[in-house]
Amino acid sequence: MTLMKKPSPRRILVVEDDRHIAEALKLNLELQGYEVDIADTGTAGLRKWKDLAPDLIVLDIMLPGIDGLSILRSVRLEDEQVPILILSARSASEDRVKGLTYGVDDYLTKPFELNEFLLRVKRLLKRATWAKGPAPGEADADSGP
Amino acid sequence: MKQTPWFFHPVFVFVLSILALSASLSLYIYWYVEVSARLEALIRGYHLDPRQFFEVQTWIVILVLSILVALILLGILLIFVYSVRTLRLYRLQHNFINNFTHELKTPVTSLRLYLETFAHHELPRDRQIKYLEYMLSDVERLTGQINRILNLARIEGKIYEGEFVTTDLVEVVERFCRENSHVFSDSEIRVENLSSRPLLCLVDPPLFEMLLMNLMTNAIRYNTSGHPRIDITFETEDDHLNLRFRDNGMGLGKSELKKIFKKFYQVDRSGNAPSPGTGLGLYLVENVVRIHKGKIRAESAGAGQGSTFTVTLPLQRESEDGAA
Repeated sequence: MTLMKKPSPRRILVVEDDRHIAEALKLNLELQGYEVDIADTGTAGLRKWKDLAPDLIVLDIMLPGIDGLSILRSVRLEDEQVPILILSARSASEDRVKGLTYGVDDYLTKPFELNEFLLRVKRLLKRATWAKGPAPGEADADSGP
Repeated sequence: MKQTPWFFHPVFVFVLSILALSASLSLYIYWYVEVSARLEALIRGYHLDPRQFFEVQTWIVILVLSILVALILLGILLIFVYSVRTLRLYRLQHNFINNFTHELKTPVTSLRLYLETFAHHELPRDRQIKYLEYMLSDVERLTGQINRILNLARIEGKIYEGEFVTTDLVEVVERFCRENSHVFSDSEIRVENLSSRPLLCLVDPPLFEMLLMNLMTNAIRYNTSGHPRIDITFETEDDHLNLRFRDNGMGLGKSELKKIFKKFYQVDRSGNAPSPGTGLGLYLVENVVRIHKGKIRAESAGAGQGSTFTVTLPLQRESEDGAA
């Protein structure tokens, strides 16, 4: 077991056009030890996703320019695995179903509880590490699904 | 909204009804002519004079039938137009509810996040102040939305009993800009009175301020110039005052100039839009202008060329004074 994972902080991309909400999320995620980048438009979101390859994307649906669902689809075309958490003001089940159909991992309706958000983020990141499978060198130790 | 099956689609039903109606009209006429011809043959067989029976009748019958069918057709057409309009209004309203929910939930979400952060963490004072300011502006945003809806209900309910006072409009506008300078801190606003005399109008101050707030925040909200500018000019024309708001914002397409005043209507700005509004602002503005017995019109050289809103209000003579 010589290959240890680098203890670099997990990087989270927050795509949210409301400056106040984006900053509040960044503040709290940073307090949890994550590295956070903010994109305030759909276009910037897609660009930052490509440039930074974040470990998780927090996505607002109603965005200026390209909307959240289109971003979700573009990301899913290239990356099936990166966990995506949608934050949306729309709570109708058809909206959630639409998001889930396009391959979102989790869906929170605004206004949400901060603690719930942080726990969901933590859980999504943990699950993502399982999905990636055991680290090289540990392949035989654990036979995941 | 659930997808209705194609055979219930208004356009399909409309076309089908028209086809059925035209078919029945031709069949009525065809059968009538057919039956008449046979009857005529029969009558001739009895050596009677067919003119006695048919002379005028045929044309009258066809005429009456055609008129009736035309009436039915007109009825269907009216119902069709009405249903299309209702559908459009329903869509706009649906859109409005979505956007309005968004406009309410966004500040509430922000407030909740900061309050919870404050409850869990001890932040340095300077950051506390920064976030408290965010919270205050979120509260202001919420208040604005709530007022808009309440004003709408009042104005639409025709129970708006305004308190009109004769005031110098230049002064009203200048005071408004002064008092709300924090809203326009990133933009340049110039007020110019081209007529060089006090311009007295009968206005309801709170309503008029709402008009100013809507027109001016639109001008800086839908603005990508980096340095928003609004030129407000006053000009007299006979017994009217033209109050003009010219901005350097995103401008409007020709087809939008009238539609923007419709309730719930929103300009489709896919590409570089700020977060959507409620589609109520200019509808309210137009109603406020109407309550003041004035008119409003929008002009723009096109998208990206800025736009000009002109409010025309009746001027009061200087001798007239007091509330109406």
